[in-house]
Amino acid sequence: MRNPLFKRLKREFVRDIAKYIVIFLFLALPIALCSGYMIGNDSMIRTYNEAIDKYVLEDGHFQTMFALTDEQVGKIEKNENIKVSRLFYKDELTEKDHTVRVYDMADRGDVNLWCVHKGVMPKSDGEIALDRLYCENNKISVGDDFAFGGKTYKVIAFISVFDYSCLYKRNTDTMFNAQTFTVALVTDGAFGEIGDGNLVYNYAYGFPTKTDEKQAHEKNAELRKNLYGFCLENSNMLSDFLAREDNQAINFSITDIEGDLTMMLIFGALIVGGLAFVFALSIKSQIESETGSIGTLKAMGYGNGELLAHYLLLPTLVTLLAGAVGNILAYTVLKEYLVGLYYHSYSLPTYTTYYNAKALIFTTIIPILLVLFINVFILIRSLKIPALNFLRGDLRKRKNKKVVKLSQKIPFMSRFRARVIGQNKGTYFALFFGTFFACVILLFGLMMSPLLDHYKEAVIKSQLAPYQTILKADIPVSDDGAEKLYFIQLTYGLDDVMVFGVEKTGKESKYLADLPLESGKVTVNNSLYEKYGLKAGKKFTMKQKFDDGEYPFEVGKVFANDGSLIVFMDADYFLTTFKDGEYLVSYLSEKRLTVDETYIYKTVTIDDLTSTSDQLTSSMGDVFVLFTAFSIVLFVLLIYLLAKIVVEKNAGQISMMKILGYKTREINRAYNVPTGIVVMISIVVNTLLSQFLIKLLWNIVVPLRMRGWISFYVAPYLFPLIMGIGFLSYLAVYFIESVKISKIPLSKTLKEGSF
Amino acid sequence: MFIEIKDIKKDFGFGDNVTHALSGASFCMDKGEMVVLLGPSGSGKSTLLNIIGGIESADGGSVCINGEAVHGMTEKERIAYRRNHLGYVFQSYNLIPNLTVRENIEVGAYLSKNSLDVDELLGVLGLEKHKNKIPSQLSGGQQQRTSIGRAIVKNPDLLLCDEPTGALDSDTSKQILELIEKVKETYGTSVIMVTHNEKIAEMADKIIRLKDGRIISDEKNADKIKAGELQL
Repeated sequence: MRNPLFKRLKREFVRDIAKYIVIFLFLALPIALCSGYMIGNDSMIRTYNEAIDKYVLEDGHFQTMFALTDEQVGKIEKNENIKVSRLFYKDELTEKDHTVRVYDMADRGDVNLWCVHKGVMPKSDGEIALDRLYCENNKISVGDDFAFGGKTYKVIAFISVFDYSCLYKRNTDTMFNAQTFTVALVTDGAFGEIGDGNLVYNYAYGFPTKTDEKQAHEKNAELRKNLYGFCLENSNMLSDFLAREDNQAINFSITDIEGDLTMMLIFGALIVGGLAFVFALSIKSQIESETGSIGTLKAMGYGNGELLAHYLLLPTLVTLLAGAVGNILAYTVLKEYLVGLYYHSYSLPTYTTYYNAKALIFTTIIPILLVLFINVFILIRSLKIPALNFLRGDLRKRKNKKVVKLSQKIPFMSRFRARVIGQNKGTYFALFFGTFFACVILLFGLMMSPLLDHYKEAVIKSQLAPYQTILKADIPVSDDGAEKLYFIQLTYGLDDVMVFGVEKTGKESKYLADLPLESGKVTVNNSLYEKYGLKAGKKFTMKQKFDDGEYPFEVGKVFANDGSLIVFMDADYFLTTFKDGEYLVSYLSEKRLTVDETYIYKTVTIDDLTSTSDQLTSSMGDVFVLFTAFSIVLFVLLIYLLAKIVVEKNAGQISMMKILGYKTREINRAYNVPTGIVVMISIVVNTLLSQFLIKLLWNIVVPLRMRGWISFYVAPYLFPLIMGIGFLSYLAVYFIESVKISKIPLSKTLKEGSF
Repeated sequence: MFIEIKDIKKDFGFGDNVTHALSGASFCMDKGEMVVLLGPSGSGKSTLLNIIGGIESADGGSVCINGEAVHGMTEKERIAYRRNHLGYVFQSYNLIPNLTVRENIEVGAYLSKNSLDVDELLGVLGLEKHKNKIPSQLSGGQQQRTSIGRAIVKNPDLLLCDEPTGALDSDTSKQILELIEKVKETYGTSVIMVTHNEKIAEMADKIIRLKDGRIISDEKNADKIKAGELQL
């Protein structure tokens, strides 16, 4: 005969429908989110890896101060056993001061091919193809006019080029910039028509055979040194050398995508771990509330297996349904949305969705098995208790547990609440753990915008001068008030560091009046100090970018300046440390320098400095909103589920208190307010803990993932805001539970007896 | 007249499955009296007690206590009525398991502005030594004493006891009944006690017998004896 207990299932489901809906949402949402992320992520990674061959990605590129002759290119190809392709570009400014990096389509015939997202490639000299993401960010449509350098072009295609899958204008930039920087492709004729003032002699190279990472690293190191020497021998200068492995424009996107996958798996594991704990509490509470029925059934001869099957069936069905719905959502809505987030940040080629079993195993099968295992474990453990104990409603293992003594000076209601908290410590621990998790996500979601604003303000304040110009040669400069610095770019850790030799400080300088300098020592700026802990007295060694030269220094002072990583020293120390020909000169000025543009290597303006925060705000804005929304939902669901357990567990007592004459308001104060107290304490403590955790992760992850440095900052107003969000979430639950308390019948205690 | 109950009717169920729990029960009692509602299981005695206590509402008839009509009260008024006038003692104690003995009694004291002194009451109840224990550390008798303490600490006019010794052995039962008697005499509390035990009825001022939802007898107990003399 079919187990008659199964007839109760429908009634039990209807009775506890709110609980099952919450559990369903708790499982289905993270499964949808994690699964969607994994599917989208895996598809992107596979598309990226296939694109390396499909779009003939360069193994690296180098730039020279002056163009190489065909003969010189031939020599390099022969000596180094590489294929060198001309890939010149011209950085032009639009009226809005956006930088357009113009390439000749003809140069991209056999290396770094393009991918067309919309439209067709230019055929005439008046047509241009622009980066898809830049166009989206600037609301440019195919067919629009686009002007720079005194000429107007018709935008005829949206494209992406794989060597700019992430729009880094310079590899040394802290962040990419798809707001004010774009790659453009024009016909050979159109390229020639643009003036050569901003022409960069850029050459892509490729190894003839596939090389693994280690081989490529060794070959690149050798090639860099050889090219440096070759240029010097030929009265030229190697102005840049960038292997693919070091190229942020190529690697940042994939590193980010792969890193997100790890983060999402950790996130999913934490949610499922927390959820399993909540599940355990919920099922324990259900058993405690049904001791009479279970005791009777056991006394009648029902075996543990039959009871187990009964109590396991509903959670199993809900869990399986959540898994199925979560995956349907993942493959439909979520995948598109999450992949859309990447396309909103990166200029990636078109992708194909790959269905993978890994996502199903990690995001669905493992969580479902875990939840079921926890349920089975708790049930088996609980059902081992003899029938008589169930009938007596006595499931405690330790009968003579020590009672915590509370002073009678404490008002009665406060002691009552303390006892409720003590009685539900497992539930409240889950609440604390859950709010910690929610606080981390919420704080992260809320803190990034003000952090980036704060960073932007700090960078603007730290700008040395309105214009900072680096020249290719030490030519005479006659601009009034322009202050000369010596400049060299060295490397430290993962970063390129700008090293300046300063001629004027104190009253003599308009721009560096506050800069402290010590003879024979260097001054590091705040970013370098925070990122690498280079405090006064610390010795460190920087390296030459293109050869093995090493330069040991000692930190004298730290200068309050944020943004790029900078080292200052006095001019004498600079000139004795670096040889002539190794360094360049730089000028700080109020206006753009009036020198021949061919001598300008780089001009740094306020837009260059603030582009990092602008780009991060643009590409991460949706993620911040997603994080905030998700954490608020998590707050409400978690508080609801656990407050519900507390009220349901004590329904008999609440009924008794009603008989005694307690009003709903007073019962709320006894049973609902403790949840509020725990919620508020948890939020206060967890907001502070979250700040420490995020700061710790920030200091570990940011140096690994990001060139430059963004100081950790939490806007003070976020603390009351998070507490307010937590409190409002609690209030919503308080209201629901208050209604539930008012509906607990007085007869409950009469029917069920002891509790 | 302290309590006047007239023609109380109460049905459970619907249509063909209706059970007439009470079919016109009426009785009166004076202040300070102890009335025992005596009858077998299913006679309607607990239902009558719950209607007097405002836990259940009657389908017909009236309940007046000290001039107040319970049957016409709103939910809010019923809460106030239970809070200000009644004390409850149940067979299954219904103590709050995570509160100590003293705190369980304070649950009752919290409701009254003129509550009895809790420490003094602990002495009366014989629970002074156990005041910091929780219910699971007590015997059944001690738990029922605590339950009585919780009921009377707010100094109610009327103490309603539903089979207060139903779960206890005879010696402990006698101690509990002595305590109820002592409370009645010390504080002048009126008591209505439900029981199916004829012997217990011997300590009552008035015995009301019920059968199948009807009062079959309502008599003053001329042979009333002290609780300590009961042969349980």
